[in-house]
Amino acid sequence: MRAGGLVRRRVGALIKLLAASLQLVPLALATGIFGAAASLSVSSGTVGAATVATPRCTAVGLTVLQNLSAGTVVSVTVGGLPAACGGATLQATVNNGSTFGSGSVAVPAGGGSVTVPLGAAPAVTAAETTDIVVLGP
Amino acid sequence: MKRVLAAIIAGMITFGAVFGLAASLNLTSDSLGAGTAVVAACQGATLNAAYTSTYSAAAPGYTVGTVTVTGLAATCYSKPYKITLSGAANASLGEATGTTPGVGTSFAATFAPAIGGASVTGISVVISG
Repeated sequence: MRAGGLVRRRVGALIKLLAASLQLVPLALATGIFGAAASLSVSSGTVGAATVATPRCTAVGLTVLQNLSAGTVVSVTVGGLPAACGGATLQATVNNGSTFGSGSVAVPAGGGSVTVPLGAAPAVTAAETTDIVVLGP
Repeated sequence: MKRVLAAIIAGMITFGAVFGLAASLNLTSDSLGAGTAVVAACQGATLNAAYTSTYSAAAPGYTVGTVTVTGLAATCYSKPYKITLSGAANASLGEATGTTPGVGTSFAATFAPAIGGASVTGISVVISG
């Protein structure tokens, strides 16, 4: 009888342990499922973007004078350049409608005026156009 | 001994029924995944855009055909870029696309057709990848 009681107690304890373990199975499964949903990993490439205004070194009017020689425009003098344009490159082109001549010079640090020699000397006509552009600084 | 076996069988039937019921619950689910990633720029250092102008008798006037970007860091190598020159009301005047180089600190973007220099008031640069 004593041996039978011992077996009975051990079997009962084993059953309780088994039951307790099995009750944890659904919990473990659920935990695993939601753990998988949260573990989605995301990576990203890089994106860098910027917009900036293209500044002007001056907004005031510049003076433009054509220098003539033998009926042609050989150079252009541009004046009224502020110090903010110092160090920039000034390009100038004179176009008489059939030919044009271009040149460029560096603007001195303090601004002022510059004379741009033209690579080709267009003939003086009733209306030449003079285009200038200041690049930099 | 018979009572012990009866208790075991009863227990198995009981717990078997319990887990049998739990297993019988039908549930389906769509997938759900969530994550967060930081979208960073490929470099923090400043880039500078310089313009190359060419006289166009057809325009007529000076046009911008090339923009040279300097200050490129190695972390931005070999990535797609897009450069847009804008004018009044931030309207796009033209766009140049390409891939940043794998070496060096500068690259040149070509605009075709070239854009009238007097119209350019802004520039936008994006590097991604």
